[in-house]
Amino acid sequence: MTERNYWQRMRRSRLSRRALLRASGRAGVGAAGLALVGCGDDDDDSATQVQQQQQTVAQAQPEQQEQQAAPAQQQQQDQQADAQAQQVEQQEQQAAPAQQQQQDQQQAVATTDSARAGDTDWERIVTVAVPNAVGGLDVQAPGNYTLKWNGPLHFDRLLQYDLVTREIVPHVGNFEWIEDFTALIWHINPGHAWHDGTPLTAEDIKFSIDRAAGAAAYNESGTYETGIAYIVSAVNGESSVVDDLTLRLPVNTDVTAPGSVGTTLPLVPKHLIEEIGDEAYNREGLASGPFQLVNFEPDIEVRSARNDNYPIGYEDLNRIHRPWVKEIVQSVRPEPVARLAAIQAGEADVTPSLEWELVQEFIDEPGFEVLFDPGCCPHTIFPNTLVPMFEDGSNPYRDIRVRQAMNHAVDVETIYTTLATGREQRAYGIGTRQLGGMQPEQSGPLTMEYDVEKAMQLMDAAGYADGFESDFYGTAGFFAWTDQIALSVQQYLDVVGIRTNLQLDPLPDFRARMAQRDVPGLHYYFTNQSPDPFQVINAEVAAGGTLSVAEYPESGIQELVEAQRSEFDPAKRKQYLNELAQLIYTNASWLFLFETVGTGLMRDDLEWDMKGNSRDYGGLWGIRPLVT
Amino acid sequence: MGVQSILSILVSRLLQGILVVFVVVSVVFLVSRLARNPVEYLTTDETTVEEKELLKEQLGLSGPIGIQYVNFLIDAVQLDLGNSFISARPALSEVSSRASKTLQLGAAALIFSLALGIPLGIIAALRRASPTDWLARLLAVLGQATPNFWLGLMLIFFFSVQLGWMPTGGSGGVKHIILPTITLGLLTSAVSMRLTRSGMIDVMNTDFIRTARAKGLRESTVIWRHALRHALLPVATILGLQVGYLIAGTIIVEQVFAWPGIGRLMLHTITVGDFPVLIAAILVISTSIVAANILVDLSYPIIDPRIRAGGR
Repeated sequence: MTERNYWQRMRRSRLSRRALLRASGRAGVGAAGLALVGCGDDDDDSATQVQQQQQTVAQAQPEQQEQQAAPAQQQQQDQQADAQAQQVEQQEQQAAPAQQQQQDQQQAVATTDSARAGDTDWERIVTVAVPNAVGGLDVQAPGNYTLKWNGPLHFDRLLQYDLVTREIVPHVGNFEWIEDFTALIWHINPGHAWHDGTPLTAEDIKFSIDRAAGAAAYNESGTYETGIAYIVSAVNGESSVVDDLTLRLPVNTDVTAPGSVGTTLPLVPKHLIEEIGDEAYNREGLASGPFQLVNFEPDIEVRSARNDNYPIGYEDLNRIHRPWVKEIVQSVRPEPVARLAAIQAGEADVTPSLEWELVQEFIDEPGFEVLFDPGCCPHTIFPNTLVPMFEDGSNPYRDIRVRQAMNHAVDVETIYTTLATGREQRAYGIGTRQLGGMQPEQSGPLTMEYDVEKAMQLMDAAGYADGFESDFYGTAGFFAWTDQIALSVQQYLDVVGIRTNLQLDPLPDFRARMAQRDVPGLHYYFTNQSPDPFQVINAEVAAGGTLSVAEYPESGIQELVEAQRSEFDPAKRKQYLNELAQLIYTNASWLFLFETVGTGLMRDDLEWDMKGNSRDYGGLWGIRPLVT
Repeated sequence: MGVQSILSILVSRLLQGILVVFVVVSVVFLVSRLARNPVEYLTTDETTVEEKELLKEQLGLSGPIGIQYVNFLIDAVQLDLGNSFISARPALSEVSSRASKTLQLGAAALIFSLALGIPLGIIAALRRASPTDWLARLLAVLGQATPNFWLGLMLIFFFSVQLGWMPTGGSGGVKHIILPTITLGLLTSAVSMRLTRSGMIDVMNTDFIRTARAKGLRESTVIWRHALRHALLPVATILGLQVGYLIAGTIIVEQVFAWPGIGRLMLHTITVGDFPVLIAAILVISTSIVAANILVDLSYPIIDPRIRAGGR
């Protein structure tokens, strides 16, 4: 899983089957081009074929220029090309699904082309050691939504994030804004079906949205509460089914609406839930995703089989696709050391979540590969600026100099090189660097480096030369080392006069306190790892957010929050987000620590580039077993 | 001791037991409600306050705690402890589906501890002050001093990782239960061994044993038929308490060996605040401990004829 292999895969994976069909149609290559990319039996072999495909795509390049010259004509051509491509795909699917699957598998082998090599072992059953598997199977039910194993492994969403570009891309469907950004039209890609064979339609999308909001027709009494209504909070009216594959959804004029509904709402089957009810569905858990649930024994194992009818093939390996693994068995091993033992004893093939202390000795161990999953959940300490801290009504954290002093007082690099893996990076702005916010070339000059003298000068200038006392709340056990990191930060702050009383609690208790928003002091939490920052912004930055305790009305942050919310030009929005990230950092809004690097362990006859999925077992669809 | 006496003891113990279970469950109900808000576990960062309130109401967690307690008692006497907040299944059925696993493990550990502890105790007593006695006592001290989570992990590494003889965890076959049984049963076997040894040493010096020998009885008959019966009385007494220890021990052992019993379920319910299941688990466990102690009380007359004769 080296950088080189990864980019090799990327380069080849861009030549998606559909894109080639479209491209050859547009370029006027016609039947010859279509035959070249997928209609005949002779397209299976790869290196030469990839070259030919690249030539085909090269021929299609002038398309952009033509588009500018004659938009109407081009649009017509595009439609014809799309229709032609779709027709060919449908014909292929109807005529020979088995052949199609074989071709896709062969293409997948060709496109992955790893230096670690080997063909894919299509019959392999992979066992994953996981800490728990409890709850029910209704992914929209309270509690189940927060469980990791039951997410994108089995359940689909309308949209997804490209794992590399972090952009929102189509999954089960795609959207377009209509009516001056007051409604969305959702187009569902044909071919998606529930695991019982029933086609997934616009009725299911409408039902999933209504059910999440507590407004589904079957639940008129309102007795069923999913607890995830916030996902569809932008929906401001009743959706209407245009046809089997099209849904109109009225929403607030909010650029994050499609992202919120599309990437976070798991889809559930209308036909089954209406037939058997919520409670029974919680035991059935019918889904439409890349894996089909075969067996679920709470706290023992979850067994899932590859959905061979999954309509998304191996065209783009950075997006959810038909799995390589024949079966995934998630075997429960609550104790981290026992998970490690399971891998050593050959009972498990991979565990995505294992502490660095346990896996570091396997770095050079033959037969194993240590998994590193960077770019997750920046550790951040939020000062509460909303309420007074002292009897005179003052709150030192409202003074930017105190907040700057805090940032200069803590030696972030030393903390993560001694307590964590050492591969971490400093945190800046809203969340991870991948959010499209502050980039390395921007953050460098702005970095508030470790400088105790400067920190003390700032404290002095703010009128706190003698320091002050503050409460400091943290979590225990959510991420590794949080308790030790909190202790370190406490001691660093103490040097510059910020004397804290540290209290560590389990995550739910900590979050309940933070959500009250009226508890003064420092709150050591995290920013979200979601690729689009709207969740972080809504919850932790925006005025009145559920966990917003650090608000700065005079800073201009809220104005930028509003501006990006109503900016429908992606480039401009990205610019706003960038400015927002910079402003949050230069305002020293929080105490910025570092981005989490998750670690795990895997046997080396598997290939899995986690790309930010360690905390989400849904990413198991990306495991490729190699023939040894 | 007549049948009536046994019945009156049984009724008295049952009433005491019901009171104990009631107190335990009430304390757990009140403490858990005051200590944890499960809605925080069931929701995400973005869940609004209004949504949390709705969910709280749906789960029966809104309103004064006194009223919640009264409602709970009314439902509980009908054996309706509510549904799990996580799986939405009835809490009692969640627990009962795990109870058989814990029962298997507990029973295996009990049998293991008695099968190891009693013979070792007898041998140690009969060869008092010999190297065998010394070794048995050393094993007992080690058994009592070794934390079971550490012992469990060491057994996994030796028997599963190094030798590959046993599975590292899970449930399914006979092999899966061996390591957890040893881990759980070792401490109780040490207790049984020490009690048996001291009981046997006392009994072997009594007059009736000398009389039995003088009658020309074989030594094995003297030991197994006369001495052991009396020496086992303290072991039986402690057995009731050991059941409580074994159940408590399953929380750790089940966690280490991924054994899907009540212990792990309890640990999880405490973490996430799944009150109905937690209370159902406590109800089942406290009832089991009370029942085990009643059984021990009733077993005295069988073990010791003196009690059967007149309760001296």
